[in-house]
Amino acid sequence: MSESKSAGMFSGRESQGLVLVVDDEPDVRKVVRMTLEKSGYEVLEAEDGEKAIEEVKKGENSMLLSLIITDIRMPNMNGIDVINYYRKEWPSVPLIVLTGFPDMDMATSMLKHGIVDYLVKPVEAEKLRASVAKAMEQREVRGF
Amino acid sequence: MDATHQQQGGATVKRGLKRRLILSMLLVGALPLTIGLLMAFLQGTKEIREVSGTNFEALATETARKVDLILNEELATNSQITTDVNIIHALETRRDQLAEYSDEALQALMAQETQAWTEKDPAFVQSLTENELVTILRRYDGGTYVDPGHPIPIVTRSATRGLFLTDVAGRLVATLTTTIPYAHNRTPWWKGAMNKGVGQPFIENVAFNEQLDVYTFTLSLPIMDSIRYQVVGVLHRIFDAKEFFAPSIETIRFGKTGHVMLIDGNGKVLSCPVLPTGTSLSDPNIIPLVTPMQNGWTAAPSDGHGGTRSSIIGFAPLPTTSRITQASTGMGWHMFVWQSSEELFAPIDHLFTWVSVFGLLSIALLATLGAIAAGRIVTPIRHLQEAAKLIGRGQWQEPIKIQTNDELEELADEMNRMNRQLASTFAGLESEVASKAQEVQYLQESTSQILDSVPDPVIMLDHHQHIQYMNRASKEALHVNNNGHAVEGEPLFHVLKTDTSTIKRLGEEFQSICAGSGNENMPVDSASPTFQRELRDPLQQQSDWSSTSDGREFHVDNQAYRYEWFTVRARPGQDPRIGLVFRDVTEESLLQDRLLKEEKLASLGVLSAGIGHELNNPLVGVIGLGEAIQQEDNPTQIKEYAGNIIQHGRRMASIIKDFTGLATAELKERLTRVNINEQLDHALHTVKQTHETSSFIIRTNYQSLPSLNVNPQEFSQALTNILTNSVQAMTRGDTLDITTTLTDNVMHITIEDSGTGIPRTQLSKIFDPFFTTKPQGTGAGLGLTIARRIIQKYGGQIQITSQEGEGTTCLITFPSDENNSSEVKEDAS
Amino acid sequence: MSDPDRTTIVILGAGKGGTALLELFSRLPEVEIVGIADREASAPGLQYADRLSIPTTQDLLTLIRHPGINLIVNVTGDPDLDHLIAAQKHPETEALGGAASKVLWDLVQHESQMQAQLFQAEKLAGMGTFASGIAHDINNPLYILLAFAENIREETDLATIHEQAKSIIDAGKRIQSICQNITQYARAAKARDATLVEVNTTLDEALKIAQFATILQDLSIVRNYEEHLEVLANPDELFQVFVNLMTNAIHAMEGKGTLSIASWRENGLGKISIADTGHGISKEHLQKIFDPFFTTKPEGEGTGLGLHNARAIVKKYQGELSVVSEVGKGTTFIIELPNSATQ
Repeated sequence: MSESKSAGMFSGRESQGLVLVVDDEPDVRKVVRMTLEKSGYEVLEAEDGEKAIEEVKKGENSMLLSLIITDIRMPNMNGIDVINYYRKEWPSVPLIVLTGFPDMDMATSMLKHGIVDYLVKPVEAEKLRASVAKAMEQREVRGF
Repeated sequence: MDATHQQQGGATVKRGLKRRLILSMLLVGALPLTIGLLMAFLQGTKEIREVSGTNFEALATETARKVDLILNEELATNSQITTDVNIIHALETRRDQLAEYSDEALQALMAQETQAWTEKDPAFVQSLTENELVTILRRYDGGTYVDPGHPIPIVTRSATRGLFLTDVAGRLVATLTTTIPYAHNRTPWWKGAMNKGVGQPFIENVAFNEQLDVYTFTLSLPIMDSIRYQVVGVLHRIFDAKEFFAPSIETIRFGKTGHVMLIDGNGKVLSCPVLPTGTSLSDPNIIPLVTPMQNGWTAAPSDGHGGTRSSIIGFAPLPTTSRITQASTGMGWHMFVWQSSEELFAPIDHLFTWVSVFGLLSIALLATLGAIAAGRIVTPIRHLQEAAKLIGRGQWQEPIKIQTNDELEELADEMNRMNRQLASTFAGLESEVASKAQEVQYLQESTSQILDSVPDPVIMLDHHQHIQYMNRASKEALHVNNNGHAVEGEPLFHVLKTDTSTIKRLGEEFQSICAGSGNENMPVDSASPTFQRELRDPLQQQSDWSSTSDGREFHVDNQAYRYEWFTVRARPGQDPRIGLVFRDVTEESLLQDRLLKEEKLASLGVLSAGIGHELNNPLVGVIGLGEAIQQEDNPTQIKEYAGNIIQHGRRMASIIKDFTGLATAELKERLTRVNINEQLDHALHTVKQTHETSSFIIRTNYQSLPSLNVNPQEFSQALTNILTNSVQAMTRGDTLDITTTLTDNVMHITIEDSGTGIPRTQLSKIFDPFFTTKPQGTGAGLGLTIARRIIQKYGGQIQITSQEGEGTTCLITFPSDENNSSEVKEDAS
Repeated sequence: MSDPDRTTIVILGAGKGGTALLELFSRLPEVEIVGIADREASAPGLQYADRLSIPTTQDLLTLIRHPGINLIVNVTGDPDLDHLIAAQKHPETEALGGAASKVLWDLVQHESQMQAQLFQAEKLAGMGTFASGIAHDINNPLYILLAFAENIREETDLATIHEQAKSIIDAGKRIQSICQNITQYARAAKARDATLVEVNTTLDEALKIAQFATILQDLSIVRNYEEHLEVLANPDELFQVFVNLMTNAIHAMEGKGTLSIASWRENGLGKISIADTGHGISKEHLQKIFDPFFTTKPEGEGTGLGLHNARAIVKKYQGELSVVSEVGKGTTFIIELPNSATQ
């Protein structure tokens, strides 16, 4: 609790990072935005992969993009295709999958492909924040 | 080529820094200046207005009083004439004579006399200009008939253009001048002064007198009879307005244009040093502003003298005179003080001009200084920019020389250092190799990190079945201690302790894979079956993993594992590595076996009906609470509702988790040794908190038991579910006995209640998902299903026996850990 | 006189054994049942045969002497009848009786038991997919609901709170409608009699369920219905058939393609077609798809009873289930059922 508060204080001054949220449901995006903005992250939204690329190409977003949170349901793609799609566009940006599919095999397979986390909805706000923080840490360790 | 390239490069170089620096200096310098200027101008204007306004007002008041005094004097002087007994007597006599005339006769007489006057009949004229009354008038006018010590103002005398008396019919009686008409009974002043025989003083506004050829104003005073009852005649005096007022008004001048003027309520000028008497003020709009009946000053939109610039005007009414004129003509006389705006605002205009000039000068100065300063800053930056461009192209070799003794010099030093490093980096092949090696190590580390995070055990082998790498999951699964000696280099089957036939089969498979992979370098993600499988629809994998047809399964420590081989492409000249990935399917196969054996295939129908019904109640709650929040404004109430929604939501989430079997998969790791008796107490405590149990008799009888390796939360949940089931079947006075015993290395947990029991027909269904005897919505119907799943997962068994009406007994057995090899599979059901 | 590829069969005895045989054989396209006979007019097999429009008789001898019969199966258990058959049958006709027909009867019984088991197993296999699909559809709104509720606890702005409460209600209602859909599917297919079924609504309900069967999909769905089309069947069973065919179609397209569903009236029949743009079925497989246990799916994904059962259900209501397919282009299933207007 106190942690999230202090993070909130920071948010006024400095962004903790730019997070792209891809989900076809506007309310899901809104909810993720709500959760992350409280911790001082900036959030971009897109409803699918194509829109995501458009969104990131705006302004300096591509320089600042530090994390992608995505659902794996996308037109014409299976789960791994989705991962590879982002990899191709932004190889160094960490990925978190946030989906309604409670599937351990899928999760394992995705984790093997290097995503940071596989979160099943409904995910608690704290868990999502922890996961995002972990991704940011990894990003710093990797030096991107 | 190179030149054009450079040109292109040069063209795209950004050069905005210098401009921006100058701009910012100008902003810093010029903005406050401009604002100060504006403020000074506005403030100055305001002050000048106020100061001048008050001054003008004072002057107007002063002058008005003075002129008023003069006019009062004039009234007083003429009042003396009207009270002269000789005059009164003469006029009374004429009144009495006229009383004998009829109206017609009087009119005829007047017409006759008027004709005589206009034709200048000498006798008639003389009778009017040289009679006794004229002498009296002249005496008054000449100052010879004055109270001692009372001087008649010169002004009056010289400004007088006519002085005469009329009788009660308006006929001329005596006059000093001849340039006047004979009959006055129809003039406004006469009627006003007669005031229907009552009499009152009358001052006529300024008007052009054609006979006299000047602008005049007149003063008429009634002459009362000796008993002061009735008007018997009127004294009328004509003044040249300009001449009358000029000495007291037109002499007051200040500055170049400042002056005082007297106007009537219509804005007609009585006296002004600039405007001719009788003209009207050029702007009728300012008249109401300057002619109120009290003094003051105003900022008028024009000056009344033809100028359109706003001007300051002080004004004051003539107090006494205005009272008379108001009664006479309905308007007052007002003093009006004015100065030309150009002159009035000249100082501030000058100030503005000068400050503007100085401001422009200082802006120019700032710009020049800024350009010089910016040049000093920007020039080294340009050097750095050029150098960076060259470094980018890999051309630049010489160090940059910047000695500014500041950050820029430091930056230059850094760039020099970077350049040197780049040079040395490209120079030495050894360093490249070293960094590559680091990279490889890092890659290995990150690979191992990734593999460690994979929940399935993965083992990498070299060509001789020796272990090269084990991920964390595999170490846990095979009980390899990290703190002991390293496993790397050990033969596979030293670690993977399974039965000989499996070892043989695995060994053969390993050999065939080696042979296969020796011929061609199999890319890791195209040829290997494991990785192909990953790309599939994940929902098909469940059945895929659980299909027993391929027989790729082995057992270690009573756990069943499904496994896959895969190969990893090696560097040229090296043998490929073989990987083994396996997965705990104990629970799956047990469950499946049991389900098939017991023919209790829970159909999708039952499951989904269950989930549909179970979700419905919390959903109704959620929607109801949501609507309540929408209508609620009280924050405390809203928070409470939201809390309830969260509770319902979490309940739904857990129903869905149970439904999809995720719960088990998620809680797989983190096993610890627990004391079963403590766990029972813990579960009992939980049940007591959630159910009303005070009317029950609850007895526990524990024997010391060996510890059990489980996930404590999960295990506690299983016990809680079973206890809950018992408690819900109990009514007041029922007993619940919980006993634990250890016999032949088997731990027994008995939970016995004296509740309602379960009918025989339903006993076979109690472990079915969503089976419940309770009213819909009170229980998920998954409690016992989950409990059994958990207990079986840790190698235990659960049996429920019941006698309807007498109670239910639940028996849970666990093999003691010390001896939990093969007899676990024994199962009564 | 009849198709040389088909085996013509006569069944003697319409008791338990005869009925079971009738049931089995009537499903095999390779077998033509010429008739069934029993001395008892009330034998259950005779009534069943009536429903399947198979000739029945109490005169065993006429059937035995019937020319062009490939096989006579005697399940009366009467040894005397075996002799009679041997004496009276056409020389080319083979006869099965005594112990042999007993074995056949056992076999059929075993078969139907297996069938029931596998039917269950298939359900279990499909369960994972459905469960996951349902969970996904519920988890999304559930997440929205929970997250907004958590936020409302910290939120102070009333307007925002009311707006988010609206989102919570919407999410709740979405879950409710999903629950209604799955409950509908789960509704126990009680042995109801055939009634008039509104085809189009049943198709739409089935589509909602079939969509749970797949994830990561990009399917377009084209519907072309004739209005107010009704057929005579058990609504729940028909619903299951639709779900089954649609699920197959969706699986065949592997997540990409167009699912076309149409209904129309033709020759006094109600017709329904369910077409996919999937990989299609080869000619050799096409003949067998209605066989029990035939499947082109990898082992473990399905036992192949789906189409078999679907056809059985359709036939039960005097209907027909047929298939047209071209490899690489797709498959179309057509259901014909008696239309209310003509019956």
